[in-house]
Amino acid sequence: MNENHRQELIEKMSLVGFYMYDLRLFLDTHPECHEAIEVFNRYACMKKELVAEYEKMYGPFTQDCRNFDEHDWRWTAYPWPWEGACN
Amino acid sequence: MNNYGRNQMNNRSRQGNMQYNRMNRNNCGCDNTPRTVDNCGCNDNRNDNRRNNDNCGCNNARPADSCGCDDRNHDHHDHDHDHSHGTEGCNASRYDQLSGMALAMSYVPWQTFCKLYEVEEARCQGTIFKELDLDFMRGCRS
Repeated sequence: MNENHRQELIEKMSLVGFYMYDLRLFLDTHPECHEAIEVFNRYACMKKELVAEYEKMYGPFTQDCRNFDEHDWRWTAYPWPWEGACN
Repeated sequence: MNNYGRNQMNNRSRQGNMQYNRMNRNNCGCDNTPRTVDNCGCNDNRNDNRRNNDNCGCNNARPADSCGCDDRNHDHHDHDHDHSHGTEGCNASRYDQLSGMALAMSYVPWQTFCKLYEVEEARCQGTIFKELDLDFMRGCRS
């Protein structure tokens, strides 16, 4: 288990998540901009792949995770932000 | 101001666009029309070219040297007219560069989908759009 790699994945998800957030704001007022939709979908796929990679290696990233291990509840296995994570 | 605060501001500006967009949703603004002082970047069928420094868009043209006060006997060409209303009065607006424009009217140019930052820089700058990364916002960043 590589903590640096885990943090790296979290950082990437944060970056991509911010990009999607701003694209969504643009699309709210430009709903027929196909170019923006295409870019949004590209980043959405990227985010999905990052989350899948994270959850495969480190357990659930959000409570919407589809693959909670029934024998190993890992939701609290890593430090929370107020415990020094995500710095 | 954090990134999300900045985007909330951007979003408020876009809400203005949203109302405008309802007037004509057949074009998303992706046409990459260069934006200049004389061209806001929107299509000609939406562009209200009637508005300029001499005409605020209403039917009552108001010259730039007018204070706009409601003096029905006011002669627009009488520069010696006393506009004082007790304190600073109307004279203060005579030196306003926007004094020819109608009060309480604002505009938000139609944004086009262009000039995107890369992901790392976008988060640092608080926007994915280079055009929204404005110099005067830099002092607000924490």
